[in-house]
Order: sequence, then structure tokens, then C-alpha cells
Amino acid sequence: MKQEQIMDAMNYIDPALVEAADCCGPEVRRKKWRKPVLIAACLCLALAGTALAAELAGVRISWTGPDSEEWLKENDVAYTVENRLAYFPLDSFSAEITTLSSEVQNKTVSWPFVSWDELEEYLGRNVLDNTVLDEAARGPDITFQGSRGKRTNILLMAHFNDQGLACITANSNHLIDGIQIGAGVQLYTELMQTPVEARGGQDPGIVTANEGEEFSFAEVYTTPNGVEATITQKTDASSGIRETYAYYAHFNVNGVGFYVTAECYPVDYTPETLPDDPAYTLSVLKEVLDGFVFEPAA
Amino acid sequence: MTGQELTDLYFARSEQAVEATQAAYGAYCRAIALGILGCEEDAEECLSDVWLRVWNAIPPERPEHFKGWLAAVTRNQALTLRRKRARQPQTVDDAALELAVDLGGGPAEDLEGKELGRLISQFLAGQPEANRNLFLRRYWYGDTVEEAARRAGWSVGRAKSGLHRMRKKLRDYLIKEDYLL
Repeated sequence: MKQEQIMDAMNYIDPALVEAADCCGPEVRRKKWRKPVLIAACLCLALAGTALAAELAGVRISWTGPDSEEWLKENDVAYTVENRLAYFPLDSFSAEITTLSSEVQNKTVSWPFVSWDELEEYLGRNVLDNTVLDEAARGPDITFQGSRGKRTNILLMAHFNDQGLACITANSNHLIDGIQIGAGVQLYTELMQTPVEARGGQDPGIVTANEGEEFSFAEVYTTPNGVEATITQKTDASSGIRETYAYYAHFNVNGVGFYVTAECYPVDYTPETLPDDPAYTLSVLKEVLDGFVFEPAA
Repeated sequence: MTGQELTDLYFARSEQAVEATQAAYGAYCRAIALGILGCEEDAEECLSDVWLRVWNAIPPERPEHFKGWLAAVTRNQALTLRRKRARQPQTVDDAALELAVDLGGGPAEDLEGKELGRLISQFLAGQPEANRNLFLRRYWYGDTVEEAARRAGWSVGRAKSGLHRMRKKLRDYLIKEDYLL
């Protein structure tokens, strides 16, 4: 079809529709303190919508857009994180886990724990050490399938494909001065073949956006021990009352994928005292990132 | 003053009709003309023609949606002047090209603008209001994607996604109606 034909046709659009289109929504009100992140946000917006993939520090962020297959299938996917994950041999995990791998197929199994130490003992390997999280208060409970009333803020999930154990994710919730911190890891085993299917739809590398939520690239932050974390910002205007902010950090170390989220958590706070200043939330996130301790690669 | 009241002034051949139209919709029409012509001087010339055309058209015409009808007159006049000037403002062309490419080919290529416009209107009438308005801001008013997104209160990414989806839906609609291959 020709450009001119479209332009002519547009002139015959129902005037009632044309008229109505001049009355659509107001401009989004921006708060002054958002300016510091505007440059980063603009960079993101330039990338968003075209399925461009940007190599940002240790992880690869793919912003989903109208041209991406991901978007067409799952239009609530904000972006995907492509970690450079190692495929760990099954025998590098505990005997209990290895045995399960030969017995369970095409299923996700969850276990609640009271500490990361306990989780690691069960898993048979060290996965997450963080001095800041060790001191943090317990965060909100994580809901999980088959909990049967059990409450936990630390959860291990094993995703089995038709071959056996393919992927392990573990995450925990914490509170630090009014900010809810979520921390998690993701490991592949040698049986990982088709990542998305095998991860049972609970992949921390696929970040979804609900109605009213927007994601943008914030920055790459380098911790004192040299870890480069890619940080994104989530803006949520769905309440219609005030915008809220959250930050997501992604990085990988020694073939293990890590993520940390930070958002204000309104426990013991009134709307007036809610610590939802994004700069504050981001500073708490960075404090947590600084607290990671890693063993040298084997 | 409402569109109906303005129309009544034209029917009464009142000298206030044009002045009142300019007061109510002058800025709106200027924005449309400027978007297509990209030049203040040309936009002014276009508007002079628009006021004359409206005066000559009413009566006998009695537009049901005066503002939308006036917008169409302005747009049409601006396109005519643009052809005369052989100027091509980027946003309007980009928008039309974007839509033309996605719609592809088929019998619709032989359709008169009026018939294609009617089909597009039919399609738009069945779409959610926010998406419909976004589509019209981009392809009728010639807004940039950024402008259309800002007006809708959406992110640019979401607006791009929304427009992509609307173009695809329109194409499917025209295929279903046997106007596209």
C-alpha cells in the first residue's frame, strides 16, 4: 500500500473518532527528583520496543519489544536477563538432590528453609553469602506451591525436566530500614536443555511487568569486590495515588546467576513517612550488593 | 461555544461564525496544519483557506461532530498545500509509511481513499479507546511516537508496542474483509 493512499484514507476517518482522539489522557506528571535517572531512562526508552539486546556488564539484558518473538508470546515480559550460567554436574550437589534427579521428571519442587546456611547444606554447595543480609530482618513470607501452611522467607526450588534436575533457584526476603530486599540465585545443571520450559515459568531471568508498571535501565554498579551488577528501575503507577519504585540488580559470578530486588515496604510506616524515595531504595540495594562475598572460582 | 452552536451561526450566516470558530478551535487546527506543513507561514495560509472552506461548506453541510469534521477539513487543506509546496514533513510521512509498509499489498491498493477510510473507521470503532486514540494521534494527527505516548500517559516502549499491535490487527481485519492478501 502506498503512503499517499494511507494519507488520503486517513482524511475519511470518522470525525467522531478523530475528535475523541484529541481528548485522550493527560501527560504523565513527573516528579522533580526523577531527573537524575532521566538520562538512563532515555537510553532505555531508545532501546525499548525494538527488541534490542544490550551487553551491559556481566549480564545481557534483552528489552522486549513489538518485534521480538518474546513480546508476541508474552507481552507482559518487560525484559529477559541472559546470564552466562555454567552447567554444573549433578554430582556437584548433595546426594539427596542427585537421587531426586533420577526420580522426578517435569515438575517443580519447593522446600522452605530458615536460613541460607540450612539451604546450602541441603543443596550440597555454597550459593549465597552476604554480610548485609545476614544482619537484615526477616522479610515477608514467600508463598509457594504445596506449602501446607508452612511459612518461610527462604525458598529453594528445583525444576525438573524430562531428564531430571535441570535448574535450581533459591530466593529470600529481607527487610532493611523499610526497604524489602529480595535476593536470589539461579543455577543450571548439566541436564538443562531448553531453558524456558525447564525452568517451570519461574525464571528470575524473565522479568514481567504488570499493568501500570514500567521498567527502564538505571545503571551498571560495580561493587568494591569487582562485581558488575546491571540495575533496572521499575516504576509502578497502578495504584493511581502515587508512583512507587523498585530496583532490580542482575549479575553473575562463577557461572551462578544472582538477582537482588529492592522496594519500599510499608510496614510500620504511614503514607507520609513511607521511605519511597528512589534514591534511598537504590542506596539500600547497593549496600546489599556490597555485602556479597564470593569464593574464588574452582 | 459548542459545535452545534457554531454550526447554527454558519447557518444564520452570522459574521461571528468564523471568529468564534477560530476562538474555539484555532489552536487545534493550527497544530494539525503545522504537523503536516512544518512551517508557521504555510500553516497560516492553510488556516485562511480552512475558514473560507468551512464558511462555504456550512450550509448545506451540518456536521454531526463539528470538531472532528473541522479537523478533517484542516488536514485535507494542509495536505493539498503540502503537495503544492512539495514539502515533506518527516513525522507525517514516517507515520504513513509505517502503516503502509505493515499493511502490505492486495485489493485494498485499488480502494478509493474514502472506502479505505471507512474500513479503517470501522476497525477503529471496535478497538479499546486508549489504543484507538494512540493510533489516531500517530497516523491521523501525525504525532511522533514520543508525543503520542506522552499524551496517552504511556511509556514510549508501550506506545510502540501498542501501535505495532494495532497495525497488525488492522492488517488482519483488512485480510478478513478480503481487502488484503
